[in-house]
Amino acid sequence: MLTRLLLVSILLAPVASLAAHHADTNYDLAKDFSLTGVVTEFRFVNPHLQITFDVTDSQGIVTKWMAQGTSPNMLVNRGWTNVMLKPGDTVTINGHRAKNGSATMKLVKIFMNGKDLNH
Amino acid sequence: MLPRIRLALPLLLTLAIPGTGFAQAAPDLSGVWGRIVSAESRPYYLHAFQPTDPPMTPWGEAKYKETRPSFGERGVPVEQTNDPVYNGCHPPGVPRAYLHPFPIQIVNVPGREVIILYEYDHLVRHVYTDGRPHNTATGPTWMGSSIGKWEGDTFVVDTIGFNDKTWLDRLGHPHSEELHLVERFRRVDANTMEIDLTIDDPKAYARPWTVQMRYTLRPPEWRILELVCEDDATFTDFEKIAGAPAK
Repeated sequence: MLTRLLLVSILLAPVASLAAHHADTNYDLAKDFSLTGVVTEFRFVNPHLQITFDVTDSQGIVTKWMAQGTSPNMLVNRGWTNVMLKPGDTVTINGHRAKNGSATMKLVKIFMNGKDLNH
Repeated sequence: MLPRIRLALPLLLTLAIPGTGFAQAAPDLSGVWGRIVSAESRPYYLHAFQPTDPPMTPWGEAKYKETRPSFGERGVPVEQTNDPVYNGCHPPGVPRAYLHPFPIQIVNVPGREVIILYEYDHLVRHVYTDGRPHNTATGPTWMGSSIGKWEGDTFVVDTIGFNDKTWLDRLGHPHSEELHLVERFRRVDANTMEIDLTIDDPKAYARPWTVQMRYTLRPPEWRILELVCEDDATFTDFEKIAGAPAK
């Protein structure tokens, strides 16, 4: 019974996405956007984690991108730590790009060195 | 002065009658609790208590129009908001604290008080259960003055003495120093708690209104974590880049 109750509680509990939640008017939510790059900095800071990563295009030009996701406080209860990502890790980040064309994006999903971190 | 006496009197009478009040074996709400979000509330659960505007007075409506929230239909980018939490690092106060998606912890100090800890933004409420009346000697405060009593299986928290610097929610609905908040906490089963919030502020709202929040008990290993508003600078700095005029 207890197990069943716990299971029901877990199912009813809010499932926070890895995305930030404000008005999001800075981002083009109508379009999905995805980038793969190499982490240069991982800031596991409230209220929204930030990842800086280098993306190299087909001409070999490197652009520094920044992505912002949800709160570390939510993620630690799902197994994340402040060393989950480190410089040199290859990440694929899915989400939405800033409308102003800056190299910033809202993080919705993330994969590291091929591993799905969205749990 | 009269309203305070009116509020305190029933509490004193309750405690004076044998077999009632906190001295009776009271249900225990101790633990770390997280929000339950229903499918219907998912579109607004982060910024409002209900899907429609509460019935505002002309004063309330005028104050509401001055706000520039970073959520909802009137939402502006966070770097442009006049939300006192993001623009001034002010405490969200209650009831707004319930809308920030972080857990709360309830701590019982039998015979004295119930302490409610809100992870966002390190808020602490002392809800006195020992029969003392409200104490508003310091003047209006962010969290107000709270006293509590048990009515059967329901813990009733009565709070007055708020300042008017907080928003009631993250949409900018205002309140005045006349705000009187009543929260009714009830454990509906071992792992589920309901909180009925009644907001009574005759200066800002045409009539009192009540909403319900639901919480689930988190596992014992859960703890209230650090979350301080000073860290918001990293977030707002990021949004300044993401929201700057296009080059």
